[in-house]
Amino acid sequence: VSRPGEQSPVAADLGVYVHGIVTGGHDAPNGARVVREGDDLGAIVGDVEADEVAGLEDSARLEETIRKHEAILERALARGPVLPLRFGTILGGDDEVRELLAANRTRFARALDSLRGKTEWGVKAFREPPASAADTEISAGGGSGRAYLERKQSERAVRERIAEESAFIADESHRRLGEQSERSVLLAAQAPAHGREMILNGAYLVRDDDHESFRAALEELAVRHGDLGITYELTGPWPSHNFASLDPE
Amino acid sequence: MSSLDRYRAVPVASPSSANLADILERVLDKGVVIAGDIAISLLDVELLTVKLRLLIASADTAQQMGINWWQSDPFLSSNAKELRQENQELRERLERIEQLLAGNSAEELSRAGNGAGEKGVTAR
Repeated sequence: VSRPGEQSPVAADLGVYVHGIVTGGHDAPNGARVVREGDDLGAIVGDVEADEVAGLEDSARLEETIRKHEAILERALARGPVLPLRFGTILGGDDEVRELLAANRTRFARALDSLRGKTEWGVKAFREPPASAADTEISAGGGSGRAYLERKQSERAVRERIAEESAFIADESHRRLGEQSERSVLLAAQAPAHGREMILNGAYLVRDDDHESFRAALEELAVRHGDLGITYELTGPWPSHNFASLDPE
Repeated sequence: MSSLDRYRAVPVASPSSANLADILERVLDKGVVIAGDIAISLLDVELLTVKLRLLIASADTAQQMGINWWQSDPFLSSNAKELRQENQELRERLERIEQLLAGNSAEELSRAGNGAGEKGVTAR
């Protein structure tokens, strides 16, 4: 079996990255090749380069390797369903990839079936910090000790009320988006950036046929909660990292 | 104006390129894990060490390995609680893999010796 990526003997020794599993007719995306097993199954693989392994402790190199994995999966996704494997999945060579495919043919086929005609989307909601909290901060300089304490107490009450409201809206948003999706999952909110608090970080597996209604539900939420300083962000289509799973054997 | 047109009046932002934090929360902790039952028995010990290093190359572990670009990422650096939880999960995962490995190739490993395994065994 010829291996087009095999220029360096070192690369051959290090094995192959397996980026994801695809159906049989899938063409190789740019930057990778497909190892096929029978007519129905293939694996998108790339050769491991020595400097990639050595470079794992080099931050920039690691980031590059991670982005490459994602980019290959995204290009593959444009050609059909892809079952993404965890970053860092390496096998000894093409033979081992074929063994992997053969040994798990049914599980892989079933998992790919469950992703066909569906796309993972990410939705984040952000809330601007309330202007009143900042104002209170500035005016907190003077006054009696008692006034100061009262101000602190009311400040805390406002913060708590806003947090409750945010949690309620995040909850409602996730539920509404979930209704338009086949599956959904809440991810941990990322840390605030530019003063905006992330109140929702969700992933949704949406049937391509339902995409319009998913989008409409999202826009309806954005309109409804816009006055509260809440904005929504849609990312995707993503390879189905959050919804790819194998049945137990 | 249909109701849908009205919704369109408030655009939902769609960033043209994904930020690194979004990619990391997907590719490092999600996706199908080919481990233990499937792949490890197929791997050379040397490859296994590479693979384990890749599998655990996540936030806190990465820091221990001296990978520090996480710290300059504003999304990730202040998310200590999430990282602690992730750390715990990774430790458990590594333990499971080690147990599987111990079961599958205890003999090989004992020959490789503690900590000297990286170059110790190349034959299969």
